Amino acid sequence: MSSPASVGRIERHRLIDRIYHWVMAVCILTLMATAFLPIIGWKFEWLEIHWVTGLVLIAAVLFHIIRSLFFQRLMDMIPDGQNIASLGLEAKTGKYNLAQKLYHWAVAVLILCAIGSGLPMLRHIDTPFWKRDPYWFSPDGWGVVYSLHDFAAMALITMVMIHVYFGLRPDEWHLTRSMFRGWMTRKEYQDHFDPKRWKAKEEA
Amino acid sequence: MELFRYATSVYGGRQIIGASFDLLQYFVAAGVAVILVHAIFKWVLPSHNKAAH
Repeated sequence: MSSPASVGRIERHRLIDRIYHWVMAVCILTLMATAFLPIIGWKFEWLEIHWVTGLVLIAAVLFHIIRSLFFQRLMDMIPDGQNIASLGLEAKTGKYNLAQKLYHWAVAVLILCAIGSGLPMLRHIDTPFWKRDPYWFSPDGWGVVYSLHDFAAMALITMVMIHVYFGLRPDEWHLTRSMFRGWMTRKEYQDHFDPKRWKAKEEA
Repeated sequence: MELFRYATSVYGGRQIIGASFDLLQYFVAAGVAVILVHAIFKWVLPSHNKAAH
């Protein structure tokens, strides 16, 4: 039976952050589809969609970096003493648990690697803004660039699979719902989170 | 199993041109392995994160 103290909704993700997340998700899935479907046999004109989507991803990532550094609490995503002491097994956590924090940083490194190697590749193609210059790097240099990009992309497949799995788990539905609707119930908040570590607000 | 893809350079040498996409199956398998291990772990062990009532 719910008591008055356990009714109501708690805001977890604001609209702008949910929009960012889903823009990023569409970009990543589009980039992965345009990268790997031709490799496994489904041939189509993938290159333009791929690099244009890459630029949208870069804009989204820049937005996220600025927002998280200046408008959100970066410490929410840094493993804290309790995460480490309990090896991530604490019953109630801050806004993100240890696994989520580590996952976030692993994906951040992979995406920055893909972006950092993808940007020079733009010099390898003709765009409305410039003609291609295949000599911008030496052949060995291009080999490094393409290898980094390829490994980062394949590792992101693993990470996306894991992310979708956790998003679909029934015991994590309150988190998945909050990325669509922005809120979780007060009871879910009380059951899973330590209010000293995540001082959540009522939904507006 | 090759880690990289190669082409022959204009000088006749072997040139790395990217990662081998034969590795794709291993990255997918790694994702499947993590999912299976976690799902089995959650199913077999009692939850220590059970919601307080």
